[in-house]
Amino acid sequence: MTKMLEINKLYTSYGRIPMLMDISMDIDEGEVCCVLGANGAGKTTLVKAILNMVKADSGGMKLAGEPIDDWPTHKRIEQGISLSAAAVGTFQKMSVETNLKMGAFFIDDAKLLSERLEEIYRSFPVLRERLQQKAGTLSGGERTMLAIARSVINKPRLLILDEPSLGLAPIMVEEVFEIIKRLRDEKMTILLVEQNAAKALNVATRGYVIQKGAIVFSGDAEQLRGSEFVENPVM
Amino acid sequence: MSLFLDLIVSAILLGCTYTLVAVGFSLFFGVMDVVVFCCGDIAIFGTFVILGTYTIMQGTGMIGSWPLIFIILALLIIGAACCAALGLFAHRVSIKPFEKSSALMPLLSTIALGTVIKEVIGLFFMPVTNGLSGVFAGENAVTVVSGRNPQGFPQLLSINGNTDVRNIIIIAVTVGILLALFIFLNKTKTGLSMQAISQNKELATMTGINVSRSVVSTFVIGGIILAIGGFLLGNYQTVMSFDNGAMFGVKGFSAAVVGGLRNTWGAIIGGMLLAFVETFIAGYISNGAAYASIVAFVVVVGFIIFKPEGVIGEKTVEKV
Repeated sequence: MTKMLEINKLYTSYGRIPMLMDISMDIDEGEVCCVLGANGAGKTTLVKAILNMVKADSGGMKLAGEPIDDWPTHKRIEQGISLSAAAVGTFQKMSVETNLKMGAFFIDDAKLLSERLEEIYRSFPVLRERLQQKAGTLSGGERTMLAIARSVINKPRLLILDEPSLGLAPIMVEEVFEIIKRLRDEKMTILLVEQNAAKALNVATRGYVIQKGAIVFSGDAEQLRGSEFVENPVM
Repeated sequence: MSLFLDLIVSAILLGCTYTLVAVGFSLFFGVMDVVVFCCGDIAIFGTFVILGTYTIMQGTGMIGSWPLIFIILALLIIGAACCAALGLFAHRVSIKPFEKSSALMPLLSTIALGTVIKEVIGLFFMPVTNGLSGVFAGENAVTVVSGRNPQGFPQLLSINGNTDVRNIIIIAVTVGILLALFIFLNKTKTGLSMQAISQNKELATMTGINVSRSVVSTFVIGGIILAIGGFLLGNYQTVMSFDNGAMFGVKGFSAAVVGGLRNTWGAIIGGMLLAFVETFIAGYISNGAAYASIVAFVVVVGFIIFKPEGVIGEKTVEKV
């Protein structure tokens, strides 16, 4: 197994307040790895640090063995790290179609682009019905679908899903996790960041628990399910 | 009746110049969330670069021997290039250093930069001592000489002193620029990135858009539009003063606010509305010219109070 992403002793801070401390983790190619943690544990900071939207104070990162520490955000995305964060929303005044095309920002070939769009419409039929609608008028569930569709359109080497179930009705949560399962079966490498531990461990093979900016536990899904950190109702 | 038609024409012409400055404001605001207060001065800088280049060309005898259309294009290209460069300079010295500080900082620094631009132009264009009736002003000169060191602007667009031709060209150029901008914003990657940043900066970053490069392109494009606005204003006013920029900028800013600061197309409506109010007050009320700006600004204040999102601004608050 090659390692798609390796993080080695990552530290970040916000001003003088330390945010992430000594984070070391790795994600194998083709696996779904989850990061579990409560609100404010540092999950989103970790995601942003992977994309260099938050600067690392120290530590190293490698994408498929290649050091990426000097790469700016847009280069990391161009090289295959894709992030879907439901909380960040959409380009509200653009149509659903344009939103999807923005996700395929680095695809210059018109034929390839229309092929990829067609694939997306097949996997997300609800979006096909809404193509010309402004993204701001979508429902919460549709918006989450759009956020995921936007981030998989350029077939990333590593897909990061930041709280895809955030603020969704239970039935939509089911649907979102069905999609994640499907992506897993297509052998996409996924880093799933979630608060909903039970759901996440259903699709993930392995995971890390993060608390107050540090990894407190890691193991495969079975071990995580039994650990005190996950059973703890605060999670 | 004829007064009415005349007023409509002048309102549209004035509206065209306001619109171009307002579009500049809304482009900069959309991409950077910062009000770049020196837009008016950048436009006037364009006016005076063109005026200066014209004077030099006249000295070398190019005017008259070269075809007029070529001269106009050359002047526009030089003006646009200088304004784009000034836009980049403005970004470098008055916005980028304050990226991490509060939005008030670039507000102040761009006002300061506007003053610098204004006074530097003033150094190069000293008072014309032999009167304005000379070469440039022509018989159609409007006598709205305000500000210091007024300079006659070459009437390049009035073929044989025919202002109708000039008016048509001013309107056509404005429409052309707006169309080009529309296509640019919706069909090119750079344009779409600018829109994306304006709507959701965080998501734009996550999409892989190089935000700092988009900011640079915004300043280049904004600079070009402002230069053309300045050129048209010079042709319309016939007499320009180096300190017109502040007022011109405030009018453009007001138009952008009326249109909804983030909305590029609202800026057109805002610019026209402001120009119509001003022109008609000045035309129908005796001594109205003195009150025109006051009424125009009252309209702006009204908008800020009752419709802060602008004429066609929509309230799309995204639910989380």
